[in-house]
Amino acid sequence: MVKEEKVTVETQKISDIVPPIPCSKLEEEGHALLIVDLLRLTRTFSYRRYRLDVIGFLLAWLWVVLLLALGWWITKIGA
Amino acid sequence: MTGLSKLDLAVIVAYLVGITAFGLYVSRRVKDTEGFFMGNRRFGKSLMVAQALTTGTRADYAIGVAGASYEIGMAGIWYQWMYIFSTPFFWLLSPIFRRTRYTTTADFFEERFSRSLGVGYSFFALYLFMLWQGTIIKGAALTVAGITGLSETWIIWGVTALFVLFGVAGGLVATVNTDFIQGIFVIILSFLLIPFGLNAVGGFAGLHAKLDPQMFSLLAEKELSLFPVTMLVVSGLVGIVAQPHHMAVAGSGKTEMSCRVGWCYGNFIKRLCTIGWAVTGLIAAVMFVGVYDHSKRELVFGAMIKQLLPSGLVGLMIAAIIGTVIASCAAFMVSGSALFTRNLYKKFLKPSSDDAHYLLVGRVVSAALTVGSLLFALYMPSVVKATVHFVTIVAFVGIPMWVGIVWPRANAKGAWASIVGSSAMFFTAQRIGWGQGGQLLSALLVGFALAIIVSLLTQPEAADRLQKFFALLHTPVGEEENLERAGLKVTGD
Repeated sequence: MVKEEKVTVETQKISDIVPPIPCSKLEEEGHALLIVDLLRLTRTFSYRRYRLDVIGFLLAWLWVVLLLALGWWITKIGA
Repeated sequence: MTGLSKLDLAVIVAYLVGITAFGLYVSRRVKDTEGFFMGNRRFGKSLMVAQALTTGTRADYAIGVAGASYEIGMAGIWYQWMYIFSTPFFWLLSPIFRRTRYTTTADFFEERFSRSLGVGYSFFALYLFMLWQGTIIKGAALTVAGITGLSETWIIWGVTALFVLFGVAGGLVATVNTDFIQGIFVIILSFLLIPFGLNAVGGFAGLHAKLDPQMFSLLAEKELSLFPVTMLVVSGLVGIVAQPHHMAVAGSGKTEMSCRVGWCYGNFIKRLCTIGWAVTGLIAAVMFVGVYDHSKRELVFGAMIKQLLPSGLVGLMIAAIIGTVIASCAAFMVSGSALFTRNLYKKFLKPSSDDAHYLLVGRVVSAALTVGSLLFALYMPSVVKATVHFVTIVAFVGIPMWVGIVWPRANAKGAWASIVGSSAMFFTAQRIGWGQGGQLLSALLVGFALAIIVSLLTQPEAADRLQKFFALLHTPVGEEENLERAGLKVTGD
């Protein structure tokens, strides 16, 4: 006898006007997106959930600072 | 006859033959529209970095920044550096593009809001692509003509023939694969003149001795000051999402990480190159005192190549300039072709044909789009002026994209009101004589306010449309089975 397997999808609610959408394991493990969740970050934010966004964003700002410093430093060479 | 030595000509010919042969060689991998338009989303980090760098870096940017720095000093850097504060946001935005699994930005408007917005955006984006291609070709032709003495019109047609051959044959696969080589040429273009120039003017000490100290300020009173620059930064960030080629630049990577690294760090390399362009302009300010007025300042880049570089390196610089044109225009051709084929032709003219037919249409449209861009190229008044102009227009189209991503309640009526209202506000402010900063600020405020108010006063989008869109955004690449199990389609077809 073949047992019929019922497929169930775990869901999450993101807004009152959006029907439930599938849950993501990867999002729970650091792949959630800050911009997509911007208006509900007060409820959803944790470093673990947004790890990739947070680390990469901060690192990118470090590059901005370094580039600005480089630009400023170049104007001072030979002054 | 051309003002070029045999060695220069040999370098140029070797580059053109080599890059075209390589492009044609890799184009045999293109079997379908997904390969032609999005490279089957198989690009790794290094190719994504190269794509972002070369698609976003054009000879006319270097020419414009060097020309501006020649006249107003280091502050001329902001004509391109205004996006430096937007760049970290590319890290956050690129996985959004990748997760939508869309091929064009018009797909975004259609799937999130309405078909009419998708169609409206398609026409706008096609216009932008023609404008951009025209700007790029014009800028490159102006410089190459200044160096070689060839006719500007002939150069425009010659360069166009090259990237048409490239783009039509290989689509995004050929474009991105050759971008790796083009990236090296972008770096050559940005820094090659500096050692020769510094040697000619007595080094950095010579620059300081001969130029007004104000020329070394990153904030100049003339042309660019803090408020307009700040508003250009903000509008740049708002508008960056709506630039039509960014769906491919940010979303064609194999993984979300390759998209993040590619878009973000490809642009950081570009910001580094921008420093080179500004320093080149400063050197020109010493070498060509009073030679070029405001309307001719963009000629200094070509004049420096001609005066400073030895035989062989002149050819290398010309090859680099042509390379930026090929890389950018081929990418724009492919994205423009995707927009027309998918969002107009397939939707309205021939909805149920096979993929081979759409691939053929995509290739034909690629070439046709370029003819339109040539009309722009031949009648564009000033490269830098055109750059600033289209940046402001794109910003208003970016408003509903941001609102649509972060706020489920946003709807198509709000999106239309936002685009029309902000554009009307911008042109009204321009007509009554407000400064550039005031024009942008007022238009952005009106745009965001209208998107919110009109959405709240009208019905939200259909629940299934919202569910599909936000399910995509909450499903990282690699978890597509979640969508399939929930009965949601993966692509925007």
